[in-house]
Amino acid sequence: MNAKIHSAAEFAPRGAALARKRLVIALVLSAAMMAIYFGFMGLFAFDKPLLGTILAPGLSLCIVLGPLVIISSFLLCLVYALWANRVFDAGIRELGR
Amino acid sequence: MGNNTLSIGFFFAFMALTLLITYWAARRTRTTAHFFAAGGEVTPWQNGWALAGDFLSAGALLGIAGIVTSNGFDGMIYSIGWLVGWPIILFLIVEPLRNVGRFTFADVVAYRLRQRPVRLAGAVGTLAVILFYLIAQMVATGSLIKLLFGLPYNWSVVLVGSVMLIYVLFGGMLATTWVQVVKAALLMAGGVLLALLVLTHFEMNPLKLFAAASEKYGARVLQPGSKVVSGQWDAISLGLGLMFGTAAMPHVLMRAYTVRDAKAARLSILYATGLIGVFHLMVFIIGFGAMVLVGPEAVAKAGGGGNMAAPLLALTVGGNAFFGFICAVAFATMLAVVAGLTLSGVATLCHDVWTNVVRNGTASEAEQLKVARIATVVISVLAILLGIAFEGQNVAFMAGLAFSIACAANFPALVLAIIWRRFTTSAAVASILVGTLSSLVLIYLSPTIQVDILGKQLSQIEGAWWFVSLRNPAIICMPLSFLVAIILSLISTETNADSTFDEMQDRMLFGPLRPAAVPRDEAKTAA
Repeated sequence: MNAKIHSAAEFAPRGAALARKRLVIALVLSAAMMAIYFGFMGLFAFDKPLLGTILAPGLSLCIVLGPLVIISSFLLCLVYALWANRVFDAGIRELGR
Repeated sequence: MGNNTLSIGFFFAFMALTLLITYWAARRTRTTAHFFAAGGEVTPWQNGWALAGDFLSAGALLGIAGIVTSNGFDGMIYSIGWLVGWPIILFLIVEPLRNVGRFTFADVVAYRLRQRPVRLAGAVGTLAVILFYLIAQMVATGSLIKLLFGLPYNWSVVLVGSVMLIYVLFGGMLATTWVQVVKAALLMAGGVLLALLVLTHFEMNPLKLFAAASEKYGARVLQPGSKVVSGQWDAISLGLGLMFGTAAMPHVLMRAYTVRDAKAARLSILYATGLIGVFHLMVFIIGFGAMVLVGPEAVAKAGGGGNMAAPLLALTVGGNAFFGFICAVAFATMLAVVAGLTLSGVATLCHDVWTNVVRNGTASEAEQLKVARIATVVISVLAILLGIAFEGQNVAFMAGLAFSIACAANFPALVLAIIWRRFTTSAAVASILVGTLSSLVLIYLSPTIQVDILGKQLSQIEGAWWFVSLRNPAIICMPLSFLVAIILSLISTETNADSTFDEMQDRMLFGPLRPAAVPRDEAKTAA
């Protein structure tokens, strides 16, 4: 990161829009993660019979959804990392020049 | 029970390798930036493995496998809970943390606020988490080593404490990082191999394994039960504690500083999430494998409260050598986790308490290193003594308590400091203290302590006015901590905190304007 020295007066405008954009994306993705996880935990806490539905021999609904929560956690991370690597970092480089 | 000589051989090979790494790292550890952050020279891949190594305790392999073996699906509740906090770290915390802070998460909370009160409160929150988690780990380690290797409990605790002291004292973060990487690689290799060996018995099809389990022990093993997590709101509260506790564990957050920049920190969290996720899926297979191929009765008979499920399975599907390997991996795991915890405790004592509170940010490099080394010895000795003192006690609640404090004390202050301009010193201090104290008090009044530890009858205390039925307090403590922080921020004003928000925002995006490769100057620019 080859940023030049900035005076305090320059701080406010520089990057404010980019910072807001990242915060919105971070909050939306966090909300998605929480919805997925607490949706699952809500079923676990309040509707065990539904989660226990046997779909096929050796397969119940919770054995499908549990690993799906794990996989979707990683996929959400991947979405953020790809966005940040491409869009956000490019924006930072642009502003830092 | 298997061949001990082999496992001891594997174990000594691990010790020899890690001590060699420590020797190599010791010669490169000259400044506090090296001691606490490995000079920022760790690559994202290394850090991803090291994060997985830091976070996956023996409980993640032995503990969860044991729960799955005896209860079926319910063990996965912990696997999932320990993973879902990682995306939160990635989205909200890690990049600002890397760009604004230096060694601890209190660097970020205190950045715009008054240093001394915030750092002291941050130290209370951090040390409480570290202390309870360390005790839980030391006691588990002592009893597991006794079980796996037949070494007496006290000797096990002293051995683990001393080896971790050597790693941290001489090798600092560089040695600890490599110990984590080696351990994580061994753990993943052991887990994947064990899961694959299980699946060879079921035509490589997990569904055949689950079907065999339900044929043998009933469909209930594939369904959620209420033995592992009882109570509806307790399950939600446990979930909150695991998710946001993970996102604010000091030893995890500290690893953000070991890489070059925010992008590297971002990538290392992504890699760690993938590794930990894959590992937990393997453990699920391992737990069911032990259920079908070893049997819950045999596992229970082996003692250790279900912890022998994975080692016994290794013995069944891979023979003596594999049994020895898995035991040694479990040992390496415990060692690495306590080393990471100790190092983050040392960073808090030295960087937050000594340098920034006692010396007001003016301590010299040499003095800070000396304090760091003294703190390392103090924490290690304390860990050994507490480990011995708590022998045979039920300390399982302490790990849960550590997550609850991290969730209620550290997480709200950290997130609000990052995203909210109006956040003030009194709000930060109060929310950390309220989060810590309310977690302690609610755990004390819950069945976790009153029934499990003090041995009271549930029916006797149920009616008492002070009784708290939740075993996991996060669902009360975390909103309480947020509420205190928001109210205090709104009724107090702090001009300085407000006016420096833009500057911090800028630093969050662009990183610190570091003098390139002039380590001696770094002491002055301490956050």
